Amino acid sequence: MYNYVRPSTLTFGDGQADMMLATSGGRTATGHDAHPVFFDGFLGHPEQAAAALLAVAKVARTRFYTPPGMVAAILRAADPVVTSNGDRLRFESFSACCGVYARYDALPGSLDGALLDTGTTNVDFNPPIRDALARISGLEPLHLQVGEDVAVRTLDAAVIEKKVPLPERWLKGFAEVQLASATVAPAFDVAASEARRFIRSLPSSGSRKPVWVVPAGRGLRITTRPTPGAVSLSGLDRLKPLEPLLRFARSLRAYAAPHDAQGATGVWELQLDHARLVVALSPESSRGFSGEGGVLWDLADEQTADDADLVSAMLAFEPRIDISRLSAESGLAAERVTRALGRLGAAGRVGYDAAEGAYFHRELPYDAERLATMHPRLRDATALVDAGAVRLAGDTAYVRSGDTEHVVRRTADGDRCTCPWYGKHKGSRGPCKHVLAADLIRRGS
Amino acid sequence: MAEDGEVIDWWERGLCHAWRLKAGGLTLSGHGILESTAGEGFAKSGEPMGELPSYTSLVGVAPATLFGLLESGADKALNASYEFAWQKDHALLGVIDRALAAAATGSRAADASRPRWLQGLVTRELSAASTSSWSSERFLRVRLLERLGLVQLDVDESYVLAMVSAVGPDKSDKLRADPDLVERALWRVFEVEGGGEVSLTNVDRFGADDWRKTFLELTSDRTLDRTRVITACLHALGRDFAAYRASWYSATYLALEPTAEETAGLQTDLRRLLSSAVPATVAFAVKQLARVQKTGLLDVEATLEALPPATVVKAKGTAIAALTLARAGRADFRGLVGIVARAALGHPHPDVQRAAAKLLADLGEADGVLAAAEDLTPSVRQELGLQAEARQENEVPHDQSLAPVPVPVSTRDLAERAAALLEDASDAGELEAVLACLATGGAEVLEPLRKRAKAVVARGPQTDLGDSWLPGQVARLVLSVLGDTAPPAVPDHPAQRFVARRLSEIYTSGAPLLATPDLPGGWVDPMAFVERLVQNPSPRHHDLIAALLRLHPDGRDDAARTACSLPAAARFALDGVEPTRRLLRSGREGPAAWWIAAERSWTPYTTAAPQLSGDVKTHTWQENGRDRRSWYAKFTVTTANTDRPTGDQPTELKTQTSDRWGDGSASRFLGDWIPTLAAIWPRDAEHFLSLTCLPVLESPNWAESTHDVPRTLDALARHPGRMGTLAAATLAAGISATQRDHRLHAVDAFIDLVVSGRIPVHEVASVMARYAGVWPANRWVESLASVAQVPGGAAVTVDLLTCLLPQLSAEHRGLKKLLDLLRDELIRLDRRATDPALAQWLGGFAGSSAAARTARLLLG
Repeated sequence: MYNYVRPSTLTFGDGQADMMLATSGGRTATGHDAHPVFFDGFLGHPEQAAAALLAVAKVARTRFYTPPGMVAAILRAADPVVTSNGDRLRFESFSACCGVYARYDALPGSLDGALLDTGTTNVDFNPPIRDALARISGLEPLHLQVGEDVAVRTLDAAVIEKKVPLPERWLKGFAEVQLASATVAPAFDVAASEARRFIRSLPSSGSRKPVWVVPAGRGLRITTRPTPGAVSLSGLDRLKPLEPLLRFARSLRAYAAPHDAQGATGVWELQLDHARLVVALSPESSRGFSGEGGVLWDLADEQTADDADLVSAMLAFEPRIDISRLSAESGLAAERVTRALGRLGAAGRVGYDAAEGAYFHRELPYDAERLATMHPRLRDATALVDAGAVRLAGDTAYVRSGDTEHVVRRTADGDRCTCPWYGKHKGSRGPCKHVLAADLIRRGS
Repeated sequence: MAEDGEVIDWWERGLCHAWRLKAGGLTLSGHGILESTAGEGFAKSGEPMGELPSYTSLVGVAPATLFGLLESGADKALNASYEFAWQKDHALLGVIDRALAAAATGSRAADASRPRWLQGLVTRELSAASTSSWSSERFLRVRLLERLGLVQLDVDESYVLAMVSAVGPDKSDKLRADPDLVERALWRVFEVEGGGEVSLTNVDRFGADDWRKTFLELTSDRTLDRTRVITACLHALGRDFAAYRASWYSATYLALEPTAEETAGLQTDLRRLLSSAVPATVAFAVKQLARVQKTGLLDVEATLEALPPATVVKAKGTAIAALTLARAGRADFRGLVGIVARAALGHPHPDVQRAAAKLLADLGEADGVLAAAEDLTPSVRQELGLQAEARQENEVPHDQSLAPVPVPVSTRDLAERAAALLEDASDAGELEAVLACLATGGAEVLEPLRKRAKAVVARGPQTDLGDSWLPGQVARLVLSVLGDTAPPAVPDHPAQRFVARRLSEIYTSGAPLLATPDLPGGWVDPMAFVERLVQNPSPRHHDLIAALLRLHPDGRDDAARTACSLPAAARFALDGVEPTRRLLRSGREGPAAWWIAAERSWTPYTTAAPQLSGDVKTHTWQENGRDRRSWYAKFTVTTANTDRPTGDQPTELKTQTSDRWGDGSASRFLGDWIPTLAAIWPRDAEHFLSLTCLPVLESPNWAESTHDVPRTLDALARHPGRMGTLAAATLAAGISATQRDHRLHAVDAFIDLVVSGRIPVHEVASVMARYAGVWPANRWVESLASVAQVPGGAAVTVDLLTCLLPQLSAEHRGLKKLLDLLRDELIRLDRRATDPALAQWLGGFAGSSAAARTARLLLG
């Protein structure tokens, strides 16, 4: 449920466009706030900013993959999440299919005004706002308010409630995409003209099977062969959100997750004037980020939970979380801080900025407890442990699940299991419940 | 990309078909209204309405009276039990209809307050009608209740979309009779985008443009203000609507035929559309502004300021039209025109770049071109006298990527890897590795797979391939190893039967397998073959055949010299010497199938090779009352090895002709089988292609997705054997496929097979030329441009075009793009078109067509 004091508005007058984004819930530097106020000033490159905001909003309204049997089902679009990191504003959204994440970073050079607070909140992005943004021509300055003085407003307006059903897998995917993004490394950069050529050549519908994008000369080429160093791309149309921004683009940068022949997360970053539009894509269009399970190892580790509590207390909505500083201040090894951040990411409490190669602090304005408990595989693994279904014999564990006893084998390449889930995905989507259960027992013994 | 709720393309095309299937008795009327012949099925999607009483017949009846009638008739409907919630709504809608009909005829009941169920029911009706175009006139009932004061409704998105979806036929009459609805709701159709099945675009698409005609009628009789409608259309185009749904507004604007003066008055709105994210909207705006410019009423300066975004939209026609529009301001606004032209240099299409460069040159700003030189295509650079980008061709020839040698399976990882095969058996090497391990023991470790194997066997009938699907065969093997039984599933084709039989005999002996590949490409090293035979003097029947077919051609003599005692057929496979004592096949030692396999291990198909023939066919049909025609290529694969194929000789192909999927041996769905079929006989790719090529050959004809197309192309790309007629044709069809992802697989196969020299360029070019009439050239351009990007690819692209082009007519559709590609690649390679046949063909061009100009440029 979103609660806004009034709808967001965008009006034109006095030679400028005035956009007021109404806020709902979230956290600021001083704690929970029903209606945070983050910014009051001008947003540079107004036409570019308007197109970027529309792109972010469009991703939230789009289902890039429709499962068989689900035709035209409607999931109401969740409102974008805005984070003020002190020197920049980040607008994030997540697609209805849970496979595409978009973020518009308005960097310091594009903000001319007062950043009034740090924190994260939802902003109302209603149809009239979208219509008005589409009319911004770039000739008039764009004045932006993120939040407004509630004390004044609430006197003359009732709170507007928007009920938006947010499925568990959507919430989980929105949190987990950050962890997938944290595994990427820069793959290539191409000039704006090549970016235009490449993205415009993509079809408006695409195969679900992953393909790989590789540099070829000055441009890019798509191959169906799994290629180390290439960026995996499934559902070619999922890069289309970048298209309206191509005319503002300076360059296109892509980041690749560790090579996986079954597909891997790809992060695409359009470099704009004092801004970036980032799109992260799940390994396959039919695979939402919610099922990736990359964080399960960290979540299964009780020590990580304690570390995460310690680290979270030291965060202050930094645009770039300095792991070495946190390590020094907390007394934890850098690796433990990193794992703790992973756990916080799964709970929606940090995001990852591939351009900076660092996490940033933001707390998704959803129920953190709910986010932290949404891991059915971990839940099932715990149940197996509680039921005494695991027995260890050296490097091998035997896990009884129903009337089958699965064999979990520890190898140099990771744990392996005889269950169908492992058979289908290997290790590419995190551990299965049997592997997790064996791991829980090993850690406990 | 289907936006949330948007109807995606295949669904739209298949909509009528789906309706028929889904509802059994339902048919789509000419106005997109569903008519029921089956009753029950329709009720869920909307009550078929009888004649509702008119509003005028009910005016004056107090709401309390009507509520009383509703209450009095609702008890039965409310108290009945239902299986589904919609059935209750269905019953209550009947109550409403009866109560209103009764009221119209003067019936009365005791006054009552509003029934509690009424508002919720109406809200659900609106919600359903706003998302489904299955409804007919269900909005009218809601509107009647609203007009009578029985419900209060906000004109929100659902309300507007329900009206769009379900106001029924004769919209003009209904709207004229309800001015309040026009003012409150009708104008909002320009603000509400809709989605899924319900939007103006989609409803009109399946409803004979009924809404557009309604607006034309209402403006012509002045029920609606024409200028307001025209302006509202432009405002709607300026909203953040998806391209598909925005198209209704531009088409309606054009249908209203605004005069040049009216258009001039709207130029501010039109200029806003120049930066629209919808390319078609930008094209529309440029065209309208060009029209205004002809009248002399255009605000040129303002237009030039707004024009740069229009020069980089995808469609080159729009960008060039924008440049033409900009050119008009050259005299008075040189600076602004220069900005527009410099923006257009960033367009990827050479024609736009040329037009922009020319405009800059005319402005005397050639420096602007120099600054953007890196973004220009090679041909444009050359024409402008700039140094062309030279491509460094890799001197190392591109090698084909053969299938790697599978990593051996041990009893430690047997269960895990067998479990993976139960989920996906498409890795032929992995299957062989698991079989090799299973052959020598390890049954006990498979126990965790018992339950899953049973499930996989049971799932077979639900798959496209039925019981005989490959994971099912693996599951049967697992169960048999565990001492369980599963009913056998015998595949249709002898080659598949051979594999199934080989699997079933694995566990009949504890000796190692002979046919496990140990060389890249799925070959068996002859020396290893001999060593395995020494350990396994009584080989499994099908395994020996499989091994003979996989014998690598190199090293046979050495292996033969080291071997002491071998089955005669195996020795013949190694040394090629027919035993002197028994010359007749019937008198040979061992089964005939061994000897056939041994012979096949030496040579690919010769006279018995599968034959391919193809014809261009015509398909005619009627659409919207017009005759339509399309052309497509129809292929036939003829095999003629034997009339009685046996299950132990997979290379013997049954004498038959297959000309469509699913016919004879050309199964439509082979799925996981394809890599395994391709691995049967590494010596000759034509063998497996005779079973799998038809879906690829037909892939340029249809947009339908066929999963076997990429699998076949991938298997072909890695096949180490002889590439014959089928291989060249399959590859040529693949790069011409309708679906982009099929073409991507074909391009990779092309790189593996043609760039590496495994398939001669001229063979592929011949097939392309033969079917040039039905395989669009623009797909070739895209595929070949991608090929040209890899090392060695540019030279092969040039060679192929050199071979292909002289076989095409000068009027061939898409020829200009092929010529442009040839020119770009020649420039990149710093080569010239010197081939005599090509030069003669290029010299035959006359006139001033774009193709003729490029031909002359190619000749230098």
